[in-house]
Amino acid sequence: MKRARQSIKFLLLVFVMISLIAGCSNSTGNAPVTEKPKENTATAEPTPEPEKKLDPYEVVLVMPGGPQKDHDLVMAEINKILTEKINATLDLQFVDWGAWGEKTNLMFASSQAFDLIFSAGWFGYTQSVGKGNFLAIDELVEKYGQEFLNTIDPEIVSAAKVNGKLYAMVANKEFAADKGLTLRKETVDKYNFDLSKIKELADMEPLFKIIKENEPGMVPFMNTGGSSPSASILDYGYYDILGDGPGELLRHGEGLTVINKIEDPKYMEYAKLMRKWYLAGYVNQDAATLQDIGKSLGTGKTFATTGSYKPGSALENSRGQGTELVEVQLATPFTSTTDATSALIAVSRTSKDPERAMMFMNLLYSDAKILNLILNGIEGKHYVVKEGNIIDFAPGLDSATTGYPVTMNWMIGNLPLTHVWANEDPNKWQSYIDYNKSAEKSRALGFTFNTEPVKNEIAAASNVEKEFKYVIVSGSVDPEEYIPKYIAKLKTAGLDKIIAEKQKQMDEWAKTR
Amino acid sequence: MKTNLFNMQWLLHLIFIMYIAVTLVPLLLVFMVSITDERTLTLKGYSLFPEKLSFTSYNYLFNDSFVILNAYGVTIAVTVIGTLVGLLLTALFAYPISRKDFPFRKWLTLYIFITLLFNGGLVPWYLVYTNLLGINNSLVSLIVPGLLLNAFNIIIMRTFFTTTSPPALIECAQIDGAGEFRIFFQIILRLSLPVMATIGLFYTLAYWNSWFNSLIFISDREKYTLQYLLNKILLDINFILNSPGNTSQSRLLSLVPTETVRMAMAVIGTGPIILAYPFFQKYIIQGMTIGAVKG
Repeated sequence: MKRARQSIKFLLLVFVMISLIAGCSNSTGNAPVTEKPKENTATAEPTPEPEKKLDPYEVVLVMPGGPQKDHDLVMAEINKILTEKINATLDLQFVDWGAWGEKTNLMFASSQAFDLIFSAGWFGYTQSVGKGNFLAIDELVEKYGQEFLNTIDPEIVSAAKVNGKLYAMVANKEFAADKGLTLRKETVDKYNFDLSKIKELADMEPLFKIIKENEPGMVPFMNTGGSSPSASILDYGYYDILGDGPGELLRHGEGLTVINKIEDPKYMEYAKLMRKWYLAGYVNQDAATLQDIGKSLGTGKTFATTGSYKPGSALENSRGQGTELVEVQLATPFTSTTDATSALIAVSRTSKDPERAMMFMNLLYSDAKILNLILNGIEGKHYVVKEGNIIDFAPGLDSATTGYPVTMNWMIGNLPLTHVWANEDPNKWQSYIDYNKSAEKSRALGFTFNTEPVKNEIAAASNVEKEFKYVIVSGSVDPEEYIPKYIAKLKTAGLDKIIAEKQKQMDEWAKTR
Repeated sequence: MKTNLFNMQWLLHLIFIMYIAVTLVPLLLVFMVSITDERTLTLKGYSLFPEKLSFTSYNYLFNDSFVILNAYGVTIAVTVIGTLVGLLLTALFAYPISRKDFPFRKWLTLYIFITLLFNGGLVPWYLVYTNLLGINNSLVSLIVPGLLLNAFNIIIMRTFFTTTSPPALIECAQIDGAGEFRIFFQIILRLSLPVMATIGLFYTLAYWNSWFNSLIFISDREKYTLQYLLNKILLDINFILNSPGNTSQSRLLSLVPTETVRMAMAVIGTGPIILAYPFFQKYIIQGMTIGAVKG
């Protein structure tokens, strides 16, 4: 018995020892990534700030998405140039879109070291600023980010400001969107529809009627809860939705009065129209629950959907759907804070060297070579120059077989510096610039709503929204009956408090402008 | 009377045939969708008898996508290593606390029981594994956190040991001169095949189906597990469709694999684990009553 006891003790001891040793060896074996030794030449070229030689540094950039097959090859090319310019290397890390929230929260919570991180107005930017995850970069940009300031319209730069401080750099691309309907060109031609007469959503009714009567198996107007006319035309073309939670600003008009769009006559008008069309069978019956319309335009299952447009989007969408599409504009280009902040790069509070991170970002606004490498890959390997600025896939490659598909060409840097693909509008960048100039700017451009004081009310309101929004905007229920119910429930959830808070912040913001 | 019984028999058969159909048809449907032509699919929707077949999705998965084969390898490696190590550790923990003559058995049982009821929460859990142990982005992080040692399995196994290996048996072995190691490996474990197989299957399934550790700890694509790849598609689609104000929605949606590819991935993901069931089955039946009496 005693022997047994002793051997069990011995076993336990061994077990404890092993786990201790294993624990220790693991922790020493994995130093943080930023301390990786780097091979770099001692003869660094003079940099924009050449007073003293910079120590080697690895800039860690975290982007949503996934790495490509030839990621390492491209990184090696980029690092050759970066070492020369600012004696730094780039470590581009990816986090999947769906895992982003959870994973980046953990990265910040554990103070993992990284320098730059993607964010966006629709992607939790203000919340992250509220949590203190990003560094205020006003001074850094002044000192090291001149190229960024020279490139971007100051009004757009300040759209990324929260409480008067800048926390992120916007990517230079389109800062506005126009809204409307996407139609199948083939069907439009077949029935000789005159699209120039369509000025309002209601003008589509005769067209839908013809489709319904003559095209069995084709849905005249395909909708999902998130892509209904109310969500995609009104929310971003008729109102400025002013960030999270209820409380909107009318696009046309004056002053900065925050309203509740659900009580607005226009909202009711659209809901009634959708109800009428739903009952007439013009709208798909599963619109409230459908998530994704897929390629139903291309296959001829759908005649029309709603859409959000920018220069060249008809071409892009036509290619995606595999059939020619036409756009009917129902709301002219409009720049709200959401549009202006649709792609941002922020400096993480866990950055070990924010200055170098800023130098790197500065290059992305001035150095076409680096930006082209990051976005389009290696010349001669992934793409070849056709003429001037126009490129195409290297011989033998296409979008499916290339080792570096283009996925980030809207997310980072000064995009007009980069090449244009042969299947795109050759004047893409110029038309973006013109488009941005032509867009009407929201009176509240630059206002960002800090949800912190009313976050409980907003959570409650979004639960109410889940119950009512999709069924109302898709025409699945009678709006005369349901909209008053919706409003009543929102009021119980704290609607008035949210709107009052938004109005308060708006007034404060207006003073600082 | 005889015909009556005969009818009853047929009725039962019919009920079970229907039951099998209900369970098999969805699987079959997933398979059929995965070999349906993409265009036919959007036009006609899901069908068990598609008009036009196409194997492009499998072709894509095996030839063009380097990720999926990698993930296959990772999942198999993690499952095999995890199951073997997990089983060994579970047995090594369960055996001592099943011995009535082991002095700390109550404390250790309580200790393991507490882990069943409480945990430290996600952030501390993550901090320990990444900052203290530094195992993030390695295969170890797919095997150890949350999966390696399951308190519930330990308790099941302990109960089995106490009921099948009476103290007298161990005493007999000791009188015959067997040491503790010989008793454990050559007597107890041999007698406990049913429980080993059952717990082994639990671990195998847990490892095969695990995706959370990949989500949390892994950033290199080469180390993703198969189930995470599947889950990621759902998460990505869900995210893209539910982010209000996302002006880049259409750009993002074009990155999501097509419906047939998703289904093909599901088929590939279920593949080998189905083969594990017949192997474990006979032990599972023997082990049906394991854990029925706890104490």
